[in-house]
Amino acid sequence: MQRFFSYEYMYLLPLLLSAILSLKTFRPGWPKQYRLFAVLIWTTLLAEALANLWIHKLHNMFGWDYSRNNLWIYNFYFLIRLVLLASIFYQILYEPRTKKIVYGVTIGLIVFGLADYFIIQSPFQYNTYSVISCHVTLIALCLCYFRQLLQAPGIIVLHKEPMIWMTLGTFLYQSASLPFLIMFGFLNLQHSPLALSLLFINDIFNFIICTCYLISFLCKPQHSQPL
Amino acid sequence: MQTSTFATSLTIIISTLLVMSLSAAVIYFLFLYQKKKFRHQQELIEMREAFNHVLLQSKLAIQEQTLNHISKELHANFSHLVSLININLSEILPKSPAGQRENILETKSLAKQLMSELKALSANLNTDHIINIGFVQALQNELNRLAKTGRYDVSITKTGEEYRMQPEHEIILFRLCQEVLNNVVKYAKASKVVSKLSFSDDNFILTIADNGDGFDIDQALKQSGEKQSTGLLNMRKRASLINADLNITSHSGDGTIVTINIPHPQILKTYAV
Repeated sequence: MQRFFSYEYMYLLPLLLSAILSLKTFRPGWPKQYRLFAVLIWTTLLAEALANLWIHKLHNMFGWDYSRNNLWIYNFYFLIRLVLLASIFYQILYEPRTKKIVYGVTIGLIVFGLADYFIIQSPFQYNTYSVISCHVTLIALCLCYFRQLLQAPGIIVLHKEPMIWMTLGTFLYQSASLPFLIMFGFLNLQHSPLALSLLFINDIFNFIICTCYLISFLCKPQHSQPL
Repeated sequence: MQTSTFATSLTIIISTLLVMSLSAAVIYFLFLYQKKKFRHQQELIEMREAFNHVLLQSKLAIQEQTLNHISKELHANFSHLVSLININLSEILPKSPAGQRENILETKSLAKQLMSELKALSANLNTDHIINIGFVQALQNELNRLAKTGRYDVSITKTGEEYRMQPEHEIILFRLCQEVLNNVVKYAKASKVVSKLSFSDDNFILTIADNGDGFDIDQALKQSGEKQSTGLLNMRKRASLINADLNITSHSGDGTIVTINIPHPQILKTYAV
């Protein structure tokens, strides 16, 4: 239990709080995208809990003795995360052409991700190809949403809109952690201690994204005011 | 080996910081642009409000001019004609047979009544006259006219030391009261009209209450579009023009209370400054 008080688990606190707060979106009147966002938070929390428990306990419980490697959980979680985030962006983006592209690209990425998971790189190796393509796609989706906000005829108070905080957190995490994640797979194979020593970068951005998610659930959806 | 590890770590950290700075710049730009858009929107709203204000003032000015014209016509033309009728009747009276004299006297009395009604109406429509006698007296005259019809039990009470408001404010307030009283006559089916005027150092509160049928305010506002009735909206607009707070309380079957709260003219001047 003591080990969970280490700085690398700090992001679990805002994540847990946002998961609790996200339950309010299941009340009547909240649009679908906020519910999907709540599902994303709960999936993240469960994935994190499972991955951490796998390393420390689950891998050798009930008489079995598997590897401590929990990358198979994270690799699969990335695919679920992509599906949920793409569904949210599908809901919040208005342009039909963009929606079609989101739909097509997401299906393509899932197929590629599954191939990468089971055939190309295997579940126990960091799935760099699919992770990088997912990151780039999500960055593009965040930018599409920002563009939509800039072009919208109406106006909303940005810092009070939950979707803004969700997109900000996602955009910051996906873009800033990209250089590290591009190198992570390679470093993990070539120089594992160095890869692990640089994991603090991912921990910092994990904390930032979870804090953004927490803030987003402290806000209420805004109604656009026409100009 | 040590150097290459250090170089790799440094490259990753620097590239991460660079990308993070770029992302932060994008986010900053987004917020900045939205802030500018918001400011622009506020300016547009202010401009629209100012335009509506000027438009309403012009409308009221035109209305006052028209009423003034009608008032002068009533006074100069119609009153003159009624006077001529009266003079003719006076001339006919001695020559007419005894059987018709009663009728001629009755007609003369009606002509006199018409004359006094015309004068009262002319006075109520005349802006200069209202400014001259003041809002309180003008309202009292209007209520007296209502009482004279015999259909209403009218009462007026005044508290506090009376003071005059800006002339244009008094005119707008008086027209607003005319609209309220007009609604009482047209729709309320009331038998009693109570008016209270309260002057204080901070504000002037005018209450006009009736014991009529009352109405559902929300429904009336909703139906105003369908029925093309702008009475309530006009009242609110007039009130906002003189910085007055207009409050209408009414429920079906419970009568209606209209309260108008206007800050003291000195306070209004401070606002304007």
